Amino acid sequence: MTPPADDTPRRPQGEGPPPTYTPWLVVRAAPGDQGSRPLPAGAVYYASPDIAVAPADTWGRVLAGDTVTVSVTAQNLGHAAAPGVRAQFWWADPSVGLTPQQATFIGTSDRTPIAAGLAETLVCTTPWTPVFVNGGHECLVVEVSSLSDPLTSTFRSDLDRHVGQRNVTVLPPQGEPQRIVLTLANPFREDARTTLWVRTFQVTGFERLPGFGLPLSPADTLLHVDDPVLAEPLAALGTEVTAREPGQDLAFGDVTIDPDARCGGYPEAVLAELRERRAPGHDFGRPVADVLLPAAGIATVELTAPLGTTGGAALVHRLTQVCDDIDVGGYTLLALPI
Amino acid sequence: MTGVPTQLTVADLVLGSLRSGGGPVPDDADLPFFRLGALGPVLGDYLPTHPAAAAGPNAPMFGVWAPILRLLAGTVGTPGMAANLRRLKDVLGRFEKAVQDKDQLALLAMKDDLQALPGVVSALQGQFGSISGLRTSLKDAILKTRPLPKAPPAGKWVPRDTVHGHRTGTFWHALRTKAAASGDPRIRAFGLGSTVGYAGALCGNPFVNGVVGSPYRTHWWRHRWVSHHVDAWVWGYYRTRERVRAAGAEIVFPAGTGGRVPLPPCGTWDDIAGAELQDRFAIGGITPDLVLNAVRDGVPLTGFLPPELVTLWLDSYRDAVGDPASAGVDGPGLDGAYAMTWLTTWVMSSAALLGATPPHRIQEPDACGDRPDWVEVDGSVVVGGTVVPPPTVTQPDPSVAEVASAIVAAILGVAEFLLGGLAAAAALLWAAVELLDDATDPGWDNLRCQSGWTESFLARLENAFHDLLSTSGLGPPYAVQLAHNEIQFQTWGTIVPPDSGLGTCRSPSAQEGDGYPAGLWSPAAGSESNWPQYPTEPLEAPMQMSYPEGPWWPLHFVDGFSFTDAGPGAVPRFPATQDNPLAAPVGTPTVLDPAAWEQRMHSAETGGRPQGAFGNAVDVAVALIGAPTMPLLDWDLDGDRGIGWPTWVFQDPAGHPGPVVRE
Repeated sequence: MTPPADDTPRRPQGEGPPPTYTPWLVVRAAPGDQGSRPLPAGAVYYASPDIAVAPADTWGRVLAGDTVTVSVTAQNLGHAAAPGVRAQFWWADPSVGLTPQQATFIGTSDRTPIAAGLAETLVCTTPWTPVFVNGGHECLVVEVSSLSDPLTSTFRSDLDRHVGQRNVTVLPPQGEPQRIVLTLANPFREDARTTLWVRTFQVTGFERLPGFGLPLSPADTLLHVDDPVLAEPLAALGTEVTAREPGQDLAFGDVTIDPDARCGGYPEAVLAELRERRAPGHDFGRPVADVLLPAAGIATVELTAPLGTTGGAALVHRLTQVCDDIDVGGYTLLALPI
Repeated sequence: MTGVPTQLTVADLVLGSLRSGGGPVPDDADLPFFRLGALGPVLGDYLPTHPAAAAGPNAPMFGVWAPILRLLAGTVGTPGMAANLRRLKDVLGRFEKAVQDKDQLALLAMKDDLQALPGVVSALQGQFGSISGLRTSLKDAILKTRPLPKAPPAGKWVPRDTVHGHRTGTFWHALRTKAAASGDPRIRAFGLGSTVGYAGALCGNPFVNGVVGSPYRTHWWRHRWVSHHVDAWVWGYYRTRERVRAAGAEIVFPAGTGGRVPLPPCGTWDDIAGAELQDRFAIGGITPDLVLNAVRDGVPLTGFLPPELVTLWLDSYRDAVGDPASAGVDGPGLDGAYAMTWLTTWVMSSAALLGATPPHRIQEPDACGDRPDWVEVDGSVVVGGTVVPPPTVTQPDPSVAEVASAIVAAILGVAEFLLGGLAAAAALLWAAVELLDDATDPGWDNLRCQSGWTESFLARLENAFHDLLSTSGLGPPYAVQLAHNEIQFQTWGTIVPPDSGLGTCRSPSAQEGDGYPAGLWSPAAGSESNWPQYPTEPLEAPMQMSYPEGPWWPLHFVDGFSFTDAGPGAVPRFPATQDNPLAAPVGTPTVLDPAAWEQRMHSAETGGRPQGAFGNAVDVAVALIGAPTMPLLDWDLDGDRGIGWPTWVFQDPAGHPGPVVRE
């Protein structure tokens, strides 16, 4: 017997939790994200494929001076409709660790109901003009919430499926080396040993991504190129992903602590959840900066990236900030070939 | 089984075709009779209905609906859920208008109504509490709707099965011939419609069978559940197509999504809810209260249908069934069947009872904060000092087709919370106007917010009721609920939600192979409500084909036309293709070809696959209408065991399933 969707998994009788007639809003952290939280150590939760700006080029880059519209695609994977879903949007300077106090509010979307199982794109009603200082690289944070499925942990996409974060820079293929100042923030209320790690992947055949009909944009495909969900389509495309020397081509400067600046941090309940994500010994790549940050302290580190990779391959640099064995944030740089 | 909305859609299209062909069509005054006729064998669902004889010969489907209707009807002197819900909606609707118009006098005139509102909600809460008890009784009633063994005599069968699977041509031809000979334009219209009803079921049920994975005989409740989804699709598609076409376009299924996603999308399609379909075949002064009260009081449902129509129908039925006659199929039983068909259509399609606000259109008031005053920060509601906590949110597996009873239990829990919210809202609304006089500013902004939040909660409650009916297989979903999540499909290849149109309205015949039909539904203990899942019962030999191979949407069996967008500037912009034209390989339409019938019957008797499509319902109906003297043939209107089978019975009544013989 062949049912209509043979590959649809069917839960054996008696297994799994009983369904609830509630919404289950999800802003994906990764392509296959169904909203399970907290996310495990090392998860790439800072490159949500559901946050978009328009107009932008194929790789999601905005032109200098353009005023853009920010939007988020929220899925409601629950069995009940989510009435009155509203999104709130923020931007921030390039940051690896990011707290609400470091971000600037952009605006909100209209309230939009989302039927059970479906997805809706919520558009920020306030246009945004990215500030092109610091190379024009900014982080975006989005929160969605509904009366019957409210937000639980503000700004923490690793802890709350209602939050999406996109800390991404797609470097232009030509020009002077780009200088990016990244902010590190200690979200805890005690001093924390803070390390910046980097991991790098090389992707060949990536030029075939546009127009291939993948479920993600070309940039998002690269950002999550090692995600198991993409393994099959990328293999079919003939794209090869290999690990490279972490931070290849990147130059990192010294860490500078701003003695007067404080990031504000999070409520104790959120911090407690964050501590649950502690993963001693987890492999985040290669350490490129290390500092003891005071409670709620802020530091910056400068990195320089040459433009235009060689050999026709794209490089994906994944930067992770780890505080006392907890990855509290991340940033991704995409370097495209000339 | 194609339901009322599908049959009415086919009727509309046939009417359009007859009009454009210049043929005679019923006068507008007689259209309710034409449409009643077009319901065809659907009328059999409630045949017979005798509310006065609770233990007497009643259709099993009446047994399913009776406890629900009694809850809606209440008792003498005590309003039922229907009256309470309608009163609540009426008061809130007037309140909203008064606030919108800033009409203080209207507000003051509503004081008595608003004072009574908490009592109305309280009564609703009490009545709602008894719904939980229905879960068990409904489950039992559903199991009792199982068709009886298909063995002679047909007079012993459930009449619903008789009108679908026993000497169908004989019955429907007698009906249309006698009607045509009548000098009564109402009866003639009914006869004309009956031919459409026969064609709709004949062409539509094989499609439904394919989605179900089995014919009605073996998976009767999944059949009803799928049919309601197909009804929502057909109604939504064709009503919307009319609007879209008027604007110079068509509904297309772009190739970019593999034909999975219509444009415009399902969320913009017309809904059955709010379509007031019952008005289209309202006859004899029928009203919801008349029927509900009759069910409540246990008195006969008579006097709606003209006696001439009753006589015509019963004479034709007796001609076909012979002896023994079906118990209870008499004048009152037929009138009762009509009344029940009408009332259940009212329940699912009238905005008066369960509203018509689909889930993606539930609005919350602007500039009124994140929650209403009666909802605490933690989401709980306080009603009369009692805290009603918000429903617990847990992670679902969105691609899993849950057993219906689990979903129903979950919905009941949430509906209880929403009723709690409405109780708190009612108390607050009364408090807001209690001390109001014509010299006091009522605080319009605050009232607007309270009214908006209350309407939002009411719409959510109505949605919960809709979902209860839809999940239970008793009503259609909203059109937006036919949409699926393309992100999930493209990422995982799964259909989310599993009951969206991709899983319930698209023919899986291309993947069927030798995998049809599933054997008799054998629900395991505790999971009797597994109709949302494709059957896993062992196959019933011999293998058959449910429907012609292809990933068809229901339009394939309705009129067979699909459209593509050739792009701006192309002429025509939206070229049409008819994928399922009238089958007439030897000139005579197969549906009317006695040789084809005989050949297939012989094949059936020798254990073969006597399958073959007749074409789309509209063209088949028009062909039948165009050949009024040609006898209709005894095709199985359930499409059992496969598409295009003649009617049949098991050779060994005690040994079914097994070899079949002609009737």
